[in-house]
Amino acid sequence: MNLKIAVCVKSVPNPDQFSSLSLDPVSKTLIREGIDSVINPADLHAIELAVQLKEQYGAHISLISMGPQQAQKELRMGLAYGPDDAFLVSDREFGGADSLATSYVLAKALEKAGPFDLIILGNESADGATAHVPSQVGIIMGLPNMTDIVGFSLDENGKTRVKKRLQGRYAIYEAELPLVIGVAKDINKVRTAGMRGVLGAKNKPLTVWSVENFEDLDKTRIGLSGSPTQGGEYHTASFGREATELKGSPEEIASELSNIIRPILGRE
Amino acid sequence: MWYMNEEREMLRKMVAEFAENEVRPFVKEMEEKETFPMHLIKRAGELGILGLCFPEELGGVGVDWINLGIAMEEISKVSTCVGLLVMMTAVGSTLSLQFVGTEEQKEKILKPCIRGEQVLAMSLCEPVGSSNTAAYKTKAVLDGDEWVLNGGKIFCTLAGQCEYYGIMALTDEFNPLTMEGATMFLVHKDTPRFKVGHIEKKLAWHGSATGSIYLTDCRVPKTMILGEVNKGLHAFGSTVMQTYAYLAILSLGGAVGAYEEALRYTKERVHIGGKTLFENFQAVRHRLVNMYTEIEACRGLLYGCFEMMQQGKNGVKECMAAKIYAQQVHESVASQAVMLHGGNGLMVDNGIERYFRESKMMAVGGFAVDIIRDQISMLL
Ligand SMILES: Cc1cc2nc3c(=O)[nH]c(=O)nc-3n(C[C@H](O)[C@H](O)[C@H](O)COP(=O)(O)OP(=O)(O)OC[C@H]3O[C@@H](n4cnc5c(N)ncnc54)[C@H](O)[C@@H]3O)c2cc1C
Repeated sequence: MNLKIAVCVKSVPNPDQFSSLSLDPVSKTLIREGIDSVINPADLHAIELAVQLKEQYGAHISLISMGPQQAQKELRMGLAYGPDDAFLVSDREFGGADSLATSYVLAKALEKAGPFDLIILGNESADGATAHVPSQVGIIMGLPNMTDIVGFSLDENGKTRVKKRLQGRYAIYEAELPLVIGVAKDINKVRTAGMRGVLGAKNKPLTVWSVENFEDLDKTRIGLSGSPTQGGEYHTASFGREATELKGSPEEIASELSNIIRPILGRE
Repeated sequence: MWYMNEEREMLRKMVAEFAENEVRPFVKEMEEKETFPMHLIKRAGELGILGLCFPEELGGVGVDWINLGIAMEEISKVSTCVGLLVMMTAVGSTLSLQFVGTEEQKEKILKPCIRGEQVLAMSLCEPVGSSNTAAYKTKAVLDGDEWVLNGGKIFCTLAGQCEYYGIMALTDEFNPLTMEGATMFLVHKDTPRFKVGHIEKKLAWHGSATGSIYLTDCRVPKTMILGEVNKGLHAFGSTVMQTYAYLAILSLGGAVGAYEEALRYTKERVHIGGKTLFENFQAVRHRLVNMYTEIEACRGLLYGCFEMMQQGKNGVKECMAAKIYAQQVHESVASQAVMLHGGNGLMVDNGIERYFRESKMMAVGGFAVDIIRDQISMLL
């Protein structure tokens, strides 16, 4: 079996630095200055699954990303884990895309780089966290799709067993390829890429596509203007707790406290 | 940093991941139980860290001295002890095999070392003093096709862990001018009457076995001489830049580790008026700046040495100077990190005093810094 696998990866601000992130009040986009970008953590699990399948059956793995030119850095990093080539879809016209416009462009890129037997995405991104993209990509491409996947295996005949998390339980599906899945972090443990992978990554093909590289792109479906989601007002949630100061002698305070606690405990 | 680029940043991240996820969780147990971390050497081999300075035909990943420096720094930030063991295998004892070893020696020893399946000791030091080669008691005489070794060694790093031991023995009267008269033998652990003796208890580096070796009529085939007869110190000398510079990087890593702990602690420790130590006291901030400055000066010297290797230039003096200076920085920064932690710095469970203890090891292990001073003075 020589599979063709695509893994969609997104460059996101480093979650360890989320506390330093802020929002631009006008454009309602993230201010990323001074924040490193990394591969979206769930996508690392998607890459790991692809590499495990490659080790098991042999496969050609392509990484696909939509993002700014700088996302080439994350793609190189992704290639260090073992994939064979990478495609970055990057153009100002794609900027400001919501999850639907993103899924449309990813689907187009997957069609152009494909066809693929298996398309793996991280279940959700650390920054947007909508978890829309895996299903939307599947629907746009007309392929069966499943999300929140925590187990995946394949037999010699190309039959899959897919373990999906369902409200605290699991459902196991048998599905045929081609298939689109969104994987959760629990699916596997991501390896540390070895030095061979790191030093070999620079020699692997990385292709950048702009709008011009797509012949049949529906421009009404891309970028900010192609995004039905419009940001509303936002406010900062307060996680502080309401505090009441109890005054009086220690006995008075104790009795007051008891009056507060007893009803909570269901005692009068 | 002038030497960083995208690829090296990727490499740094990956080694840091190994150091954080696999080395750090093991340090406490290793130090307390004196466990030799062979599984970490194996992992470093699997990940290709041990092959960072060997060509692909030997199982390496291609030679880049700066890459190895970056990797060693990341591991030593977490543990200079594991750093030392990785360093021994990645360059310290194995590199001379690449330069002067035979095909047989490369197959039997070097390749398994690069894969992390074996480690190789280099044992010179004797009770008479490590630099006092002329007085070494370990001698070898030729008998047919074999050399017969008698004598003993002390302070041998990796004692009891190796398949082969590099043992320096006198094969002639030692001439301190030509440095001839001593030969390096590669002795298999199962050689009859080869014995590993007492494993020492040390101030630090409890995961690194340091012990004595006894040799009584040990017969070693002629083919197991490293380099030429009487030129054992030359075989060693061919890697002198690397030996000193990669010992020095352990110190730099140790200093960075201690500095990062101190910076984090002083920014978190809430003190007078609800402000942190860092916010409250200029004395604290300036101390941290001094530590940072020492580290960066050391980094400049040391990565300059790696660049000289990269360019194939002779930088023996610079590498030796780097070993001395890096140890000073290590000790100074680690000592100040203990200071900045107050009482917490002295409590063993917090792991801060370990940085300081390790800095003292660097002053003597891998040649005492005073001996290196003496060697440099001869080149001035
Ligand atoms: C943890 C550890 C691991 C070690 N691992 C190894 C190993 O794997 N292989 C190995 O061969 N050795 C090893 N050594 C030995 C180490 O190289 C020596 O301990 C060190 O070089 C000092 O030699 P010495 O202990 O014999 O001290 P001495 O020679 O007695 O020296 C004592 C002091 O005198 C001064 N001094 C001595 N000689 C000179 C000189 N020529 N010029 C100027 N000053 C001098 C120095 O200040 C020195 O510290 C290890 C040592 C330690 C502590």
